[in-house]
Amino acid sequence: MSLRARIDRLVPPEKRQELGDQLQKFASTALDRHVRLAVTGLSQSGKTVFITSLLDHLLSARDSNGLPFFSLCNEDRLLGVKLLPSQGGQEFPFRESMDQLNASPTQWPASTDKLSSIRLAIRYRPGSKVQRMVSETATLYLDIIDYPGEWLLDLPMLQQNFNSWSQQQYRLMAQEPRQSMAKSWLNGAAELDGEAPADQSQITEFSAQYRGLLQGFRRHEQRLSLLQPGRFILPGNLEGSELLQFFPLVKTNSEASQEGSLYAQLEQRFEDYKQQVVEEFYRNHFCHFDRQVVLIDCLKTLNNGRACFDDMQEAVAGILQSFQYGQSGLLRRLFKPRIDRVLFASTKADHVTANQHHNLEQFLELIIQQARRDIQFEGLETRCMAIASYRATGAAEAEVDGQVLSCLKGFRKQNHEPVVLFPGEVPTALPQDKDWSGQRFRFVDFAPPDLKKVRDTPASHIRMDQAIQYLLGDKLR
Amino acid sequence: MSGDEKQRQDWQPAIELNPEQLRDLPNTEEAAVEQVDSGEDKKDTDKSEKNAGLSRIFVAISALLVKLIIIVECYRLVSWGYQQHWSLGTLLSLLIVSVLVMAIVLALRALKGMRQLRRRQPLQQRASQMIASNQYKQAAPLLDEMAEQLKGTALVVPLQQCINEVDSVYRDGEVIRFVSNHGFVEADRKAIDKISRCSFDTAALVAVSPFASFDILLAAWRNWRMLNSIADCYGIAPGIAGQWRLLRQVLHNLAFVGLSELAIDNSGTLLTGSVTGQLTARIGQGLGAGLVTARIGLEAVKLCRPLPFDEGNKPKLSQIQSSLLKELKSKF
Repeated sequence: MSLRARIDRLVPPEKRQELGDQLQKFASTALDRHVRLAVTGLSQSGKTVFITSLLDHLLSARDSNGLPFFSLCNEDRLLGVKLLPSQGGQEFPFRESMDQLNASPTQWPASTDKLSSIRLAIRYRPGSKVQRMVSETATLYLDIIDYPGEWLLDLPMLQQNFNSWSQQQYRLMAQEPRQSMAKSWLNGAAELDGEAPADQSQITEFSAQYRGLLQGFRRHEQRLSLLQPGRFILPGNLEGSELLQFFPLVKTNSEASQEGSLYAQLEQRFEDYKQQVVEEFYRNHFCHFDRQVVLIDCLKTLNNGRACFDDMQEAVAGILQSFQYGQSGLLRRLFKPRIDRVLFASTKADHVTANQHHNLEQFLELIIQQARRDIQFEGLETRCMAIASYRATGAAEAEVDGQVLSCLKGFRKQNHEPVVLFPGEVPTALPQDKDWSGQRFRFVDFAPPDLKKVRDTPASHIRMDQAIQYLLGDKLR
Repeated sequence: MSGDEKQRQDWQPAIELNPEQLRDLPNTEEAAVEQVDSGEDKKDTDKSEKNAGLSRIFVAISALLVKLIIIVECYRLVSWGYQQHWSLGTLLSLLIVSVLVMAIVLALRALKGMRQLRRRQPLQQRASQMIASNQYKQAAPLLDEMAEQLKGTALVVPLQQCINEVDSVYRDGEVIRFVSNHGFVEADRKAIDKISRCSFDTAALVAVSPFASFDILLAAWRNWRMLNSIADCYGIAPGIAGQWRLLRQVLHNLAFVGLSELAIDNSGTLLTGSVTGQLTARIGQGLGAGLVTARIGLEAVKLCRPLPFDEGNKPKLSQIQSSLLKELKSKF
């Protein structure tokens, strides 16, 4: 019997193929050729547009001057970029997003309501001598997933039990503007007896009301962000499932609840939700990241006021606690990757004038203060940057009452009418209560730019090249 | 809103405007030209000059003495010539005048190069301060001054083109980094080319020459030539005075400033030590001489370049070293 046949008998060919693939994957992870980028952000913070812009700019990077601060383009080492089919699951709708941006009139890509992923292969010539000895070209695979930002808020629940979660929810509902909206629900919930036997119709009714309440908070003029559980707002494929039928209830006495009681039933549902929804989401998609970009819409908080600011600060701090940070050595990268670099980006920087970008970055630092401190404690590199995935406005100047004002000109998102706007100055310190005035800021939503005009120039974005350089630059040496 | 209220708050309320209220944006280039014309910051104030007072007086007196002696000797020579014959006298005086003219031209050229070189350092310093700055629209004077310094050289065209491409939203630090990355691509490439060619030449010469003392002379001569052409790449007029100053600064930096960099570079050298070990001793010596040349060249680039290199964009010794080794191995 030949050696070949013997091997074939020991390991069947199809198994060998699989094994080979596994080994290759293992090797590419070990050689640092695989980056999983976590694009994190609450809903409406611009995740989908960021991913679209990232892909769009990288795909056209080789023949354009659009990324002057991306060293791979600077040094002429980029050989090509290609989209690969995603590894199982829904594919990120890149073409659809681009079509929407290129439509006439232009529109922003629709907000995400399901999970999707995409993989990008970046082929380049290594700059370092040692790597070039191995091969003349190298390929970096970049994995990105897109998901509804609402679901992200479920992650902090993993570290809570039903009691502490309920207490947190009640604490939140004791504050304005939640309090006045939740009044009747709170009154109803106060009459519930946790020790009484569970009544299914009652649970359904209260859950539905609680769900309506969360949706109300979201629509409220303060645009609150800390809304748990996330699937109550965007159920995905869980619509109508029993997993979504629970609500917070604070225990009145310290004894253990009896089986079959309302409290025990809710607790069970909460744990089920955690295990079957949140943990699965986390395990499959959220614990293998190498790099992270946290997108935050600072202008939303400035437009909406103090409550929105506080809420977002707490939400961001909670979310970031669920990620694993730390220095990532060779072994760790193989078995348990950790995020070793974080970029905090204030999106929609094109909605303020260019001289305010630095202020915007400082304001962003205020929002992420707590979360950032924890990350830096792990010895990680972080940076704040004001970016715009696509630049929707142009600079202009106007004279008002003898004073020259730097303005923005663009087109209104709703009706594509031309707008000229002095949006106000971004404060670098947290404004006093009296300063959260309706007159101070007016950040208008602009329609996307006509991409044909700015294609392949740095004017199509703001600092996307620096963001890419920061997130991937050291992996592409 | 009443006037009182306006004064009390320190912020300007957001307003939406009528498109007719817009004014034309001032053209940044025109503003640039005006800035150059106003001619600020042109005086070079050298504070260290005060300290050197005594030695200066001494040098001045001796120069005066030498000049006097030369004038007296020239006068004696010419008058002796006229005593012999009028044609000899005319010839001698013509000769002296032409020598004088040539000397003046050479001296002016040399001084020009030296002045250009001296003006690079404050420019670089201001630029590196500005890279860290978060201000907005303050970089124009610096760029204008740089353009003015480079006036009449081949660098101006790509530089101007690069300045025109600067995006309107960049803050000052980004403007400087952008110009540094994209405005001197051609000059950098030429300079690095020259350095690697020259370091290979030196290495090859040292490898084949049989005399040690001759090696040193050869290497010195090649390096001197290289400094000249590097300065030329970055728009500094060639001249003996400028070159001398450049050499002095380069050696000073190599000896005192660049020690840490040297250590970093050396780690790369050690890595390839096993490769060098396989070469013959002669080629090894050649490689050493070539590396010193490359180091001198890179230091000169750093001094001559109008803007400092952006982080991560610095040319490294290891780049030159690898190509040098490859070529040496292929030729010998």
